[in-house]
Amino acid sequence: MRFSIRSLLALTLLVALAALAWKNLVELRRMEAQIEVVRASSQAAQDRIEVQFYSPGYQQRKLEQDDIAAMALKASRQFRQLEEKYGTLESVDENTFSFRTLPSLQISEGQDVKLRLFIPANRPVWLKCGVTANETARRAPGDDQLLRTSPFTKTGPFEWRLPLGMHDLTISYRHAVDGKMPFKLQLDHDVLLETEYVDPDVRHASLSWPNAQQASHTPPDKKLPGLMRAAISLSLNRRAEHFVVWLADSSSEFAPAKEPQR
Amino acid sequence: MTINRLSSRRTWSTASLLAVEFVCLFLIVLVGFNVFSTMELQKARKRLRLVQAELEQRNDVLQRKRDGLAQVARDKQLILEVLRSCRTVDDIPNFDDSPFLAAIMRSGTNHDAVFYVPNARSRLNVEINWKSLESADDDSGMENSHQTWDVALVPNSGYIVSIPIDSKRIASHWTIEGNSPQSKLQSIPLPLSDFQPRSWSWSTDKQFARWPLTDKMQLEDGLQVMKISMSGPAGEKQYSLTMTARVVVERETQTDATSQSE
Repeated sequence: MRFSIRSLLALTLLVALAALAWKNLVELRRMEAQIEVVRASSQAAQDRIEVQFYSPGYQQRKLEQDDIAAMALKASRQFRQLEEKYGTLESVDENTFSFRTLPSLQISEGQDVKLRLFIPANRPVWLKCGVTANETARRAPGDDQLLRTSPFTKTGPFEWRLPLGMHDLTISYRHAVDGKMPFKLQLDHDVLLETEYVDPDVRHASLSWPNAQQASHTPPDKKLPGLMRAAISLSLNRRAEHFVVWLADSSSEFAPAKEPQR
Repeated sequence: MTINRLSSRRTWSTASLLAVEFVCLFLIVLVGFNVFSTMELQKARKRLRLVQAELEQRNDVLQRKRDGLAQVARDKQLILEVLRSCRTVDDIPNFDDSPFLAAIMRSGTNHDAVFYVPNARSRLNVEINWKSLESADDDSGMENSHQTWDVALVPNSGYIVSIPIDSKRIASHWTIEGNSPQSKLQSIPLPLSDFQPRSWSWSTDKQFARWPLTDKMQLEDGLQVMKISMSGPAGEKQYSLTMTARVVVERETQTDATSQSE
């Protein structure tokens, strides 16, 4: 039996068609299986919709959502008014430092302490922060009480000469996540310092700051105020270091973490 | 010889013809199957797109509902945090005819609770328990006691209930003030005179409840908006004092006057 070119072509065509048929068959089966999987997911989603949202009380909950949204809108408008009402700070003169705490909403992740500061022209004001182990120190720890190494990623101490005029200082604290508790200092829109307390046992920090709901004025003969103290708590109520932010009249020659923008 | 060759060629031609017929038949079957499977594949692709669209739509519905629930939680937090930032009763937003009671307790210079009562008849039940920490065997009867007050609340208004600490660190009375014209500041003396709280503990209560209440326990006991325990000297003895304030559903006719019982 001779094998002609025609036979070879016919055989090739047969094989090609058979391969195409096989491929189509496999693809069809794969697609049918995929359809079944998607259909099952779709049915499960439909079941969840029916169980969760078409159960008795759904309409009531929907109305509640609308009521709560309306309350939240009124609350946010009221907060804007409170920001205006309690946000004004009038300076006394160019020798007197003034400040007040601004309204700030607590967030579930932590706390933002917002302060409006007036830096007078005739009185230099230094913003300082550092870490101390001294629990008894009131607001401003002595230079010798400040640690140079600690579980903070940046221990400091740090200082910045504050620019003249009105400025907003925000001290942010966030609850510990994965053993890291962040703190941030921000003057207006300029981030001065970002540091983290790193310890697997760190739990939370108790913050205290001046309750200056109305403007507080510090004449030249009075000491400048402390701004914030965060007492770090480890597990089993073990007390750890304190992160302290305060103001001073003079420099302690601490390195600035970053120069504030003027 | 010639005849044999012709016969052989004829025999071969018949086999060849059969093979050609078989190949043609097989080709037709394969072509037919391929056409059929390609059409089926197209149909399957269309079905898959349809079920995928259906799944996507149902997942979108679920996601919207989940977002809605998360938004409700965020809205509640915003409402409570705005209440927390209210410094006077005039700062409390007017939620109009909101059916929700919202309350948050704060601890600062004073310990107080800010709350908004919905459009419903209710009263504030304040209970103060106090006891001497020194005389467990004291049988005077006055050393360990309790006192309660009921204050009718004006619907659709905000209140602050507080234990103010004066500049001498003495807590002499508790106060309640509302932002409606009918609810002026009421200052009620504490049962202990010259009480100087040195330590206190509180539960940072937040309440957000729809009115009318449906929970049986809440109906009977009311909604707790504040609970604080303080201890310190009053005169020559050490005392502990616990104040609990609850908003209670008003069932009977109640006069606007503050009623008191011991």
